[in-house]
Amino acid sequence: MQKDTFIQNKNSTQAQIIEAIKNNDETVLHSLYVANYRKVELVILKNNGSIEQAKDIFQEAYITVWKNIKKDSFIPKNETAINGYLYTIAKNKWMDYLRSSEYKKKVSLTNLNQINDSETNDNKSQNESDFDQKLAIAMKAFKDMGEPCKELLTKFYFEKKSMNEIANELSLDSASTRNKKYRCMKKLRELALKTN
Amino acid sequence: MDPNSNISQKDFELTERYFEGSMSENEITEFEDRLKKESELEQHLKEQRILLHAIEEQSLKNKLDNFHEEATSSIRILNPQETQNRSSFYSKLAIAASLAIIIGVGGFFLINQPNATEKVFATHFKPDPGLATTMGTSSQYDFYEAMVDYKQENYIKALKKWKALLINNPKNDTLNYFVGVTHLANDNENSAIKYLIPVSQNKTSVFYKDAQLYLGFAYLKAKNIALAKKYFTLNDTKISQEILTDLEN
Repeated sequence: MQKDTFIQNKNSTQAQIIEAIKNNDETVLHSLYVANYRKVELVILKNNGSIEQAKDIFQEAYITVWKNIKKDSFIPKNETAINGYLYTIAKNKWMDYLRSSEYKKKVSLTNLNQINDSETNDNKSQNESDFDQKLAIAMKAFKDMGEPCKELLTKFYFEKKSMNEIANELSLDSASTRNKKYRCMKKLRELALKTN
Repeated sequence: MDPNSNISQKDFELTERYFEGSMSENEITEFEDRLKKESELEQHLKEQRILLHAIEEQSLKNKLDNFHEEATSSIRILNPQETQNRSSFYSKLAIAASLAIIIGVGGFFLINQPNATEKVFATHFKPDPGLATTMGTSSQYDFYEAMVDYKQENYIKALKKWKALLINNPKNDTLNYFVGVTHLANDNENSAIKYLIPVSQNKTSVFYKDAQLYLGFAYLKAKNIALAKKYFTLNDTKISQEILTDLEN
């Protein structure tokens, strides 16, 4: 898998970009973030937002875009399409917030009932909400794990490195690496699924 | 869901391969048959899906703050709080310097026996760490641009920019101080002295004490021990005291 800076490389095909994002290619993910943050920050600051809020909204939007690309519910033609998509989602999230009841306690607006749920979670089924809840618990469990397991699992499942690559990095043989993976996953399972 | 129901390592690795799509047709059929019959295995599969999602998403989240640093790394206006934090640089410098004594002195005997003052200088000297450069408005852009140059050890560039600002602000203690320490970091102790002296005489400056310290270093480099001692004595911080002790020996 190539590690070009896709944002500059105009010859990257659509397939290459999507592939890179699905594989969590660090360079592409990094470029995507850095190339788009400032523009989103600007629109939020200009619309009553703070720097902190700009960061939070941008990161939420970024994760949404990443998820949608991974599950093929968004198939971008090129980088420009992804940039536009990210910007739109972020802007909508911000506008949703401004229209929300939480925000309105501070400001009085006329159209209290017009809540635009373009990217909000209002329309999810019960199954989806269950999944989200379990996911949130599992994410917290992973976040709170000890560094060795966290690092190992990140290499396997996020960086998608091969068993041999990881074994090399840890100066272990494949069998030990495999065992470690099993034990770490077992630990994570216990931590994450306790409440069920 | 019983968190104590352990899946065997063998089955665990089977489900991994199932998810990866690295099973053969036969294996897939066999596995899916088992899933229909063994509810525990099926349960495990569902749980595994959630865990894999969680690991990926949380890992991504962890990366985002790193990306954010880069996305926002430009210049910011100096706010009053930052000037008061100079003392924390001091304590860090003191700790670093005291470590350097333990680590550094030993190594020096390997080189061709520099003379005593050079040794003391080299053991203790560390360039001023500079001021924080974070994002913000443009009115002090030039100052902070030079600060970035300074931190990257592009001393000539930093000097050029700061000196340009000095033309219109000849008495500005911040500018004089940084031009001074940059000259010193750039091995030009005589020019350093020229700029640091006015700062060391200005009791109201935030850089008053630091200017004394670096004048001490500058004179030490210039092999003017008497004046070096004078400034280290005036400065009277832990580092200076250690240097004075070293100089006695």
